[in-house]
Amino acid sequence: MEKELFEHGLNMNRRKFMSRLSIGLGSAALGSLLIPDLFGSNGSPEEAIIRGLPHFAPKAKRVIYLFQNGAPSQLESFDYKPMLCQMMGENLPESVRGGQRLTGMSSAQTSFPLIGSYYKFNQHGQSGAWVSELFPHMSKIVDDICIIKSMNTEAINHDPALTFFQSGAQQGNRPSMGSWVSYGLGTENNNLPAFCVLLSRGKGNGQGVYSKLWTNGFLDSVHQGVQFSSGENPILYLQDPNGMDRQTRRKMLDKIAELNQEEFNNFGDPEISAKIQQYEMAYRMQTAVPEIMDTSKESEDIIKLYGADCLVPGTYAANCLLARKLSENGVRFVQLYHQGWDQHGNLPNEMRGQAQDVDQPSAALITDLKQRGLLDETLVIWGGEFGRTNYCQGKMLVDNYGRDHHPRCFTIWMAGGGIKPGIVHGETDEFGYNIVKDPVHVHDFQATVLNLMGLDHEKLVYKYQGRRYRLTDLYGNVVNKIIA
Amino acid sequence: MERFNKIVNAILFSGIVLLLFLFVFEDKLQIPVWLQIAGRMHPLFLHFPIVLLILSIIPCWLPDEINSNAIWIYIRFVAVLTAIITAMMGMILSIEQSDKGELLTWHKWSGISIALISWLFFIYYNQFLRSKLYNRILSFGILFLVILTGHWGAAITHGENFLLQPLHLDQPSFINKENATIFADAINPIFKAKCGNCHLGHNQKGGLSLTDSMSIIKGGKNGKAIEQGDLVKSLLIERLRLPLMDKKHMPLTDKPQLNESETKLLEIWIKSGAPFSGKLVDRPENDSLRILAMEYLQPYLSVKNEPVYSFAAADEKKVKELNNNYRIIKPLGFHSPALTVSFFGKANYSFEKLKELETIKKQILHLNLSKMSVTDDQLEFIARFPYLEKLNLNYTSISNLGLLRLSNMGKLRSISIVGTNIDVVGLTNLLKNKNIKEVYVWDTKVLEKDIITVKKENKFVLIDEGFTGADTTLIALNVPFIKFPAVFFQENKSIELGHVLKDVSIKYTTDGTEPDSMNGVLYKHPFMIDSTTNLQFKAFKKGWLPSKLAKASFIKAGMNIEKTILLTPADPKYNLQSEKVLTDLELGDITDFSSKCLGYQKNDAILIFDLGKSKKIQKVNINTLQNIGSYIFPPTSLEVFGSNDKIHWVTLKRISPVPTSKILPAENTMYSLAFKSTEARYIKIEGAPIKKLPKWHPGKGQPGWLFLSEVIIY
Repeated sequence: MEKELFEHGLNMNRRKFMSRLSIGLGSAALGSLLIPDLFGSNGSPEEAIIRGLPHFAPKAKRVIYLFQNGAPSQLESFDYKPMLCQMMGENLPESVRGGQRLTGMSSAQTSFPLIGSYYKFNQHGQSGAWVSELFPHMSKIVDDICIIKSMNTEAINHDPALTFFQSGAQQGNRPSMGSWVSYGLGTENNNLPAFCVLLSRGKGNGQGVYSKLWTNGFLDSVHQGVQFSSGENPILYLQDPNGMDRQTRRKMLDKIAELNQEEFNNFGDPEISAKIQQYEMAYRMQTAVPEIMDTSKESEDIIKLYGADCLVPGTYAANCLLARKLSENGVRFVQLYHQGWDQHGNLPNEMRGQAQDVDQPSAALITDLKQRGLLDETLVIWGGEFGRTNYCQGKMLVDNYGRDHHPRCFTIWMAGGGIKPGIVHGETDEFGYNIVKDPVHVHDFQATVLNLMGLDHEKLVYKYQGRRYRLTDLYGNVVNKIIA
Repeated sequence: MERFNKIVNAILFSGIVLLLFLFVFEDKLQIPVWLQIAGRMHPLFLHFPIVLLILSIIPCWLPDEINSNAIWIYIRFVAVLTAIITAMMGMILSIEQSDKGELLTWHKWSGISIALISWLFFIYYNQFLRSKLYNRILSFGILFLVILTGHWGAAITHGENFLLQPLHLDQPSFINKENATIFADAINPIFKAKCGNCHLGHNQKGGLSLTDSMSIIKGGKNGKAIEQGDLVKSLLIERLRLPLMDKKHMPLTDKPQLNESETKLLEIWIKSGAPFSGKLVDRPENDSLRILAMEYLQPYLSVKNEPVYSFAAADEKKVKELNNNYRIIKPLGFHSPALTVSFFGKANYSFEKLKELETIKKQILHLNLSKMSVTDDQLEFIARFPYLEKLNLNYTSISNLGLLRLSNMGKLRSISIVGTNIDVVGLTNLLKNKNIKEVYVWDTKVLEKDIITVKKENKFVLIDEGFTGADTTLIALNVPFIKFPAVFFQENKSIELGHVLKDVSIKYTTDGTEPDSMNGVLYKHPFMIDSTTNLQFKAFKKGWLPSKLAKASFIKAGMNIEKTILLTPADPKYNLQSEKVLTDLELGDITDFSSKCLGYQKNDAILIFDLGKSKKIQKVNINTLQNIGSYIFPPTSLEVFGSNDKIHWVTLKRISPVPTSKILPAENTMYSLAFKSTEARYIKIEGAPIKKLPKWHPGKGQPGWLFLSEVIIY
């Protein structure tokens, strides 16, 4: 009987052959529709990503992004405009504004009086970069950083601008920059997440941050940013429950892995093996994380470098120190947010407080990375989501004024990881309103960051709902002038 | 049938004659406008003869009984007729077009050949019927011609290589920066990609071909495409810059357009004299053509600009095997044979783990051993990594002597020995290797004065000693923290102070004075308080400036208040939980006015507190919020009344707080109203917000606010 069955299987007549053939051709055609590069001559961009490798040799291996949430004023920090002090109180010339849109907050204003910085500026370092007196520590590291004065963005309100900076689109749900990097390069240290998030808050007028800013969007959930909190449990649900010791945990994980493996053998769904790996990683994180969070062994040098607040969990200084430790241990992308930079009013006062929070730790981070020989492989970014207007919002006094949102130009700085040190890139006009040289759009910035990480922003794609998505959407040019 | 044959033959013959007439005299003919429409229908009509001709050649391959069916004669006839008509239409269309590229000529010849051969096929079909061979040969000829003509025709309308384009066979390969040429690498790809459909090779719409320098300089029938060095006279730029809507805009609206950087690059190329030869790197560094072209080429340059290594890549399987959770091995880049290796997790490290790298030691460029227990004998092993460029030995157990073993490493460029026991001897040992360009020696035993001398001796080496200012930098401590900071307590409370830094001394006072080196109590261990206390404290440490003054109030809870009655309403914006908020044992939040306070602006605050039964009272503490910048001022007056029946009230105490004269930081302020001990069940409080803000305030003249946050009765 078996023989018959076997021969039945071999029994192929012409009709059968033709129908088989048509199925074969049809599925080949269908296959090439679904996988367009099936017959292509070049390897697909996704191929590289599955292997977790950069497209070309990277200049930076890791990123620490010090996001100044709320948009610090460039006119009181790095963009020195003496003209605004000379023309204090005069109306912003219409020829300069050129009919640019205003926010709902100052659109009712009948006049737009120019206001100069309350704080003095001085030149620093060999590069002679202008920095305001609010940032004495950053002034000392200007020769290690590249100040970009010609940033510009599209959104004029915090949430869309912030989302745009992080994900390349104004409406949420796209993966964050850190997720893209995690997707493109994978993790460096298998015992820690590739993308970590640290939050802190200043006393100034603040704007919220939400987990959508570090979302993995449509990417696999392993690429989501892991938020560290300042309390006893820096990562939620990482600790063993009360009464469970490490051996029991181990046993449990082994058993679950066995069950999952069985399921994987049946279905072959890669999500199952991803799950097994994630459980294992969490287990390893249980020892790796407390080691990193422990600041009790930091030397007096380090404490004085960052300031004593670096030992107070949840402060910006503590987060900077923690960012260094995470980065040193192979975390690809550490994202900090410091809230409180939204100075619509009471600017000189609030900005002093904010500057005190971030000045020393930010500069310390650069120095610290440098002295460990890590700065050349770590890219550090400091900046907000847009700039602030050169005219006063609300009541105007020399020592008490406000500035509204200004997406047309603002300043950020970058350091380390392949960035040309000690330069100032881009220029704004003498009113500090429009860019006159080397504009850098947010997409250009994102393309540059990816480039430094060894990723081609046009090739780092993910196909979702029939479209290939990029961090830079359809735009972005690498700013080669700031790359060493 | 005879009659039908005659008519058919006559029609076809006259068609052929007419076609040949058109072909021979095409240069001398003027096509009337209405006929031009017929000509333009050529691309539409041509599908009929293609299908019908192919259909009509099938029967000569079939058995005779099917072949002889009369229907085939009709099909053949219609096929030939449409072939002739299509050819005529094509002729008319070609006469209309003045530029005649090579492709068009080939297409015309083959099209007319089809008409002629299929006509012969029709006439002689029956004669040849006996020996099928001729018919079969003819049928093949027709099929071949149809395909060829169709191909040329499609190339005219869609551009050459239309069919195979999606396979990306002509994608630019990677370019070496040093060898990148101006025309072939930067300019020509733009022409090819964006203009090639109509102006490349044999396809020369408007007589213009952008194939090579000759054809580009020659230009088209409307004039010169480029005038070297002159943008205004260059027709190419003019057409590119026309608005998209303009009929003469190039590329045609439905074709892929040039982007701004491409157009700019073409402009600058023409401005620079439109050079066809030469390398980009031979042009001056600040030459705009070079800069723009390099920017344009960036995506194709990056890969080949990576350093080239003389060694082959390691076995991929081997690398995968060696990778684990504590030893990460990765190529430097996608195409790179070079590897970077990092170790993590001290507990999982041993020399054995390092030794396992033996098989891939040739490929390792970066090695990160930070915090691993690396000893001198392991350096011996590392020294045998021939291409190692970057070595991280931070916080390892290496010694001065061990570093001597690295002196023969030919490629070692950067080394970090942060946090090790290395002193100046070790540093000098290390620098015997003259290839080393960077050394990081922060947090080692190398003394500052030694670094200065070593730096002098090694001028071309970057020696980074990092931040060593612990002893010389004077910065302020941060304030101490209070372990259980709850403000209210019932009977007594233990106060526990602490500081994030070690060896900090904390001094405190409870009498309102500021603690300093002379004044105040040194905090040693937690202490108890049993009455409302205003604590002031400060941190001191050697080598640091004292912290800012910190203040904390601890308030003893008063009598139980059964009920709160608001005789006048609080402002609707700030009246959350109005019946509870003043007695909830929680002070107002100076950053959030709306949740834990009652705000009054338009009217005075008048409230009654019911103690449930008559009690002996002697003091009422009223907590208010102050935020001068936000118009929240101290009250102009506060008054306390007592009563047992809610009808007859006796004034117990009245105060008028000192008016504020400048903007102060936001804070909680407590007003204590003490009086002679009195029996009362009901306590009434009246508070008046400031009616007009003073002149120095930005909101002068406007009414101010009074914020009540807590009322305590003793």
